[in-house]
Amino acid sequence: MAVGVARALDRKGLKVGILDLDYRSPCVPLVMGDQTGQLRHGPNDSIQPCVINGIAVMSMAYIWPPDKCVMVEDKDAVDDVKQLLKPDTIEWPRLDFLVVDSPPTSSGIVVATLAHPGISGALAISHPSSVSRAALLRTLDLFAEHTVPVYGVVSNQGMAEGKPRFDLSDDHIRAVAQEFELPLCFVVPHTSELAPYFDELVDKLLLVSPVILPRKVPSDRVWKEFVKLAKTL
Amino acid sequence: MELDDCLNALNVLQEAFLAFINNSELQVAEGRRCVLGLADLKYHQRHYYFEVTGSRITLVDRYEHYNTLILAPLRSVLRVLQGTLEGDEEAFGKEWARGKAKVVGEKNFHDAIMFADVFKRLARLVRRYRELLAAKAS
Repeated sequence: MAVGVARALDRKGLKVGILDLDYRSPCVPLVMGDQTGQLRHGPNDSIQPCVINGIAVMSMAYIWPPDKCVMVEDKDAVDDVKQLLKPDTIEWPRLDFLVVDSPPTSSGIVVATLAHPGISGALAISHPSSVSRAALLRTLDLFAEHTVPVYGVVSNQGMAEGKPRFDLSDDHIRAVAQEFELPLCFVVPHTSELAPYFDELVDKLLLVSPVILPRKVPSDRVWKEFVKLAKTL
Repeated sequence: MELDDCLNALNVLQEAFLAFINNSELQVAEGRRCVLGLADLKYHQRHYYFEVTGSRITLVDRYEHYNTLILAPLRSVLRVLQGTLEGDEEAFGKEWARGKAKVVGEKNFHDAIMFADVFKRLARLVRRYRELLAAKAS
């Protein structure tokens, strides 16, 4: 998804970079079809990202051996990601957009990413399945907790040749978008010709303003009942 | 014995490095001092630090001034050196991914990446060195 969005922005003539923050299972260079890149020493002890078809890419895939599991402790991984997010660590070329590909969890890595003040907006991706929808709800809650502006949700690859691939439909993801009053809900089908869909998605992304989701707080009634119970105890 | 293996590996790496490194390679890591130290020091009476830069790889007694210190267990260091000697470009990356190496320093992430790059280039040099030696012997 991140690669599709980045390529669509690139097709519009915008300068784009991708930061692959899937620390333990990075795959952006693989998806982009070029894993031969090598990180280079940049000025002032920075790291120069690789460039694939005009898009600057920084990924842990350039560091980890492709066939080894990554057992770096969480604390050390978070420290690495924090360094990656510092403005002077990566010598990015002049960019209009930096697309950050983040794993779908509430791990320390994701939390460190969401704490970055430079985020203009987030896009939540979900298959139309019960499992993925549950992760989507948690992700939106995480965005609310960290007051991250949200563009919307994408229902990803739910239909292939007119047939559903998962146990839910795109309408279930639309319902989530409506429930959270998100400005954008987009559907990407399962097809080999994805470019037109990403072009349309990016057109819409550039038009909408992301919203900060309200944090869920207990209603007055629940709160009063709780206080009453506490006093009784 | 393991330390002897380390020292032997270092000697071969050093020889390969000095024989084939060129000026542009020398300049890559110039100004940065990365030190690979042994983390399991309680098993050893002395501190052993291997200094690896773009220009050399040596064993030093103790390092007071470094930009980045990578602390790893002796077995881990040995695996890196042996792997590099066998021409494995991922020898350092594998140990880093294992989570055994702790990297300390202001720009530790940058330096660890450069450190990994030095070992990749060393592995390539060793492969080249081995091929040339074999050709000379025949």
